[in-house]
Amino acid sequence: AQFDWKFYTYFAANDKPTLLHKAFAEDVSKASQDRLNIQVFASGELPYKASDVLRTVARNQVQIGDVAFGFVAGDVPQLNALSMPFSCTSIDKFYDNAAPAMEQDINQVLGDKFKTQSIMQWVMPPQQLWLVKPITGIDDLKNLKVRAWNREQVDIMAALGGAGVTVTPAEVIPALQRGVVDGAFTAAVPALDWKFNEVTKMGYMLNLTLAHQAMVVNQKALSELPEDLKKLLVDKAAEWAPKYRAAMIQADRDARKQLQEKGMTLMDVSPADLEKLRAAAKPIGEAWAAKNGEMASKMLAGAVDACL
Amino acid sequence: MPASKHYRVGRWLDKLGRGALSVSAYMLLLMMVLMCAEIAARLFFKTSIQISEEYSGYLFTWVSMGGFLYAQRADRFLRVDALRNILSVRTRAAIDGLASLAGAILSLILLEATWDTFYSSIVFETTSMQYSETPLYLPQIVMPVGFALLAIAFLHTAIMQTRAALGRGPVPTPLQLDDDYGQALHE
Amino acid sequence: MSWQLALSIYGVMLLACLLGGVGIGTSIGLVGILGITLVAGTDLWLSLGDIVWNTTNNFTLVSIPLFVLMGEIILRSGIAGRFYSGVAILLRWLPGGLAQTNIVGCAIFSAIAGSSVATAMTVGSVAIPEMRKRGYADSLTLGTLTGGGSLGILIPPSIPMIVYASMTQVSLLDLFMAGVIPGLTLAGIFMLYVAVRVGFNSELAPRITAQPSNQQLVRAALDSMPVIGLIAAVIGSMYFGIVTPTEAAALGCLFALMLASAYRELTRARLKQALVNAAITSGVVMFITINAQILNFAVVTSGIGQGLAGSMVDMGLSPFMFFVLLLVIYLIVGMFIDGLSIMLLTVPLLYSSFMAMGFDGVWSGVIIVIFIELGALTPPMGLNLFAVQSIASDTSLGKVAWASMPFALIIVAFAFLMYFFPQLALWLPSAMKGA
Ligand code: NA
Ligand code: NA
Repeated sequence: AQFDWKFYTYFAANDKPTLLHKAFAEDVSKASQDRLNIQVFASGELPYKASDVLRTVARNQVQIGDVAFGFVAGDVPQLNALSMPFSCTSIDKFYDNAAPAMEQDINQVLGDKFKTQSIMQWVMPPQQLWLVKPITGIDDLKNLKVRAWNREQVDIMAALGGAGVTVTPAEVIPALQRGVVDGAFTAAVPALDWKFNEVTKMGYMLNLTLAHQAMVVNQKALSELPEDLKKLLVDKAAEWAPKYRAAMIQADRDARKQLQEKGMTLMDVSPADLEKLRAAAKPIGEAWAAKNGEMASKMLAGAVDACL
Repeated sequence: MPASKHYRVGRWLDKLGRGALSVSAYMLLLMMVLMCAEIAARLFFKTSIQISEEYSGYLFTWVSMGGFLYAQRADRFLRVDALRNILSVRTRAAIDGLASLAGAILSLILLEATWDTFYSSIVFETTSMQYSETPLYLPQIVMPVGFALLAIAFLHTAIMQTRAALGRGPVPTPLQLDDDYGQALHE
Repeated sequence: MSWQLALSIYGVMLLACLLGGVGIGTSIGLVGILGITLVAGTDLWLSLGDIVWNTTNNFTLVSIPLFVLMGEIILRSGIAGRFYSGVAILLRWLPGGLAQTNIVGCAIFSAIAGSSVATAMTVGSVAIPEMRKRGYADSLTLGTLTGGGSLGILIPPSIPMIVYASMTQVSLLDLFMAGVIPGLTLAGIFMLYVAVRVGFNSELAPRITAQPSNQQLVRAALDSMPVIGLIAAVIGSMYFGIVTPTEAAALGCLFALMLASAYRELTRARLKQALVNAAITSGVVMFITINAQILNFAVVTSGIGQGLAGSMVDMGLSPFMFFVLLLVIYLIVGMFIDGLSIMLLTVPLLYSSFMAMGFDGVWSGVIIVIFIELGALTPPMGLNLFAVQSIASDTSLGKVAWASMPFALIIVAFAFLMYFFPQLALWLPSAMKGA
């Protein structure tokens, strides 16, 4: 091939997103008649963590990266509007309204500091709470210890009278199994991939946040492509966004179904509890926006508006 | 350089190696305290101190890097001795000099690479994604410093071994701590 | 470049470095750097920084110095010595007496220590003077220590297992659990062997006629209690969900410190020694682990792992032949290189082949640990031999090696047992999940 690109994703080799990335990469290679060959590397195949992805693209160690804004909060805190609890919980509204509205601001931040740009935004299905012992409502979350993987999850647990606890990814399953923690946040798809059904009883379907992802490309690598290849890549990304959307919605539905078939109870949040949850979440987003400047405030307001 | 200068550098490296090792020892204690604090917070107060996992990782980086210089000075890095042992003293010194040079080359490459990692954390103003939002360059600075010292130590040994091979000085002896620190129980 | 050519270049360069006396970590790292440079020039050097950072900052590996520290505190506070004399009185009725105590002591101490050297040294430093005084033959004693010591990396915690888990993404808890039954079984076989051998040659061990008094028995039970209690506390705290596996190491250190202070034997100087030794271990182990991750990166980038695995399958090599081939390779490499280095050197190269041959990742980890146990008992480079020789100062390495040979042979036989009965390793981790 004329151009050999590396694409890094922090998802494992057989995880749903990795399979999508591989299908996308293959499509690009084929459509370019092998002039642009993209090889996808999964977690463990390259020595980077989820929090390294944006920097590895910026330094051109890989040319494309699957960036989760939640995991690169240490690089681009201002792009984390969707990590704020209940800022946007509808996958459809994200694709139809929020993503187009945020695109320009995201690319401004990625371009200015990291000399990278997003060619596609997508979302993982909503974050849910998986519990070792069943509960009946949010009041039962008091005094529970829950594995949280970001600051906002810690804050929401604190607001509900429980505690968010950090546990290293490799120890989440044993921690749930032996009851070091009472639960953990993640989406239904990874919950199924990680066999949460073996260690938890209930999925409390909070729809806390959507994990906001972007396919981020190094600008220098992009500019080295001839115009037709550049256009091909960008067009293919646009073409694949609806496929990611449909695939993740389907995967979420399948995962929920399978988890239930494996004996788990999935419980929706009652309207009254949802009110309480949203009230508890509001100060978290406000404090974040106040801390991270104008861009952050604007993006949070935009996301909330777009997803109403 | 006159011989006395070489010895002074050697003594200085020994002193630094011992010092770094002592600091590492206390950091290890701190690591234990930090984890026990997290266990206690969870068990007795149903809460979390939030930094146990993150800071244990940083401390481990510091503890390990702190042990490198001493391990080099005390000749504790493992190697295959079978062939070396049958050589004459001066040939062995020549071979050991080359081996130390290899160590120096590796250390210099890793110095450059870890410096880049450290420096990019400054340029991108990267903080940790955990609750503490610690600027990453702070824990990362120990990596280039550690490899720089290791490179110097390897180069120093390479020079001393070469001098020995040329008959211009004695074969350098590994650093020993005063007590039985030497009997680390690991492998 | 084809993976075959890449592999040949790696092999030649590695051999040259190792035979030239270049440190094992340095050799592995330089070969790795050469590998990635052949593929992509210096472009990938940037990633070396990420490798160093993400390896040293890995929470799973954090438990290594903590497990070392726990063992050091127990040894330096005299608790290990009391424990040995306690168990000795309780087990004196067994044929072989103190020789059996060595194996039981090693098996139990293995549940605290993460390495075979630590296990052999701790039990050996108490056992050798005691047994010489009572007329046990060195040809029996020394082997029970080097052999028993090798249980240290099979019975959890285990530094090689921690490192293996960090390289392969296999669950560390599963791996630890998978070592328990093989470890206990191997200890049982060692004891059986000692009983039979003493039965044939009663001059190896003195016959004990005097019965211990009740007072002695109570005292013995009290002396062996702290170590047993410590193990129960560490395992119990994990089982009842008070701590994660990594935190268990920290909690173990705290308990060990409390025990040592209760016996008023832990001076500040001794604590400092324990800490310093754990720090040196971190440095030595992490230097080689970082370099192994560099090699790992090179092996993935140059396609060697996949190529090697593919060619094993294409060659039509049966899993059993593959297993025998590995046993031979590890036996030979194990003569010259220490166990942890072997694991770090071979796992990047061979893990894909293990998978392609249809072996379970957890089982593979356990079998490699058993292979490297063997290496600790074979001269010229056998760390357990060195350790025991350093305590039994007036003995030659040859004598220690000779005494260890029966145990090495038992380990070879045991490896075959593990091949035909993989459930020995895999049953406990799966049963734990069902519970
Ligand atoms: Na052990
Ligand atoms: Na050996």
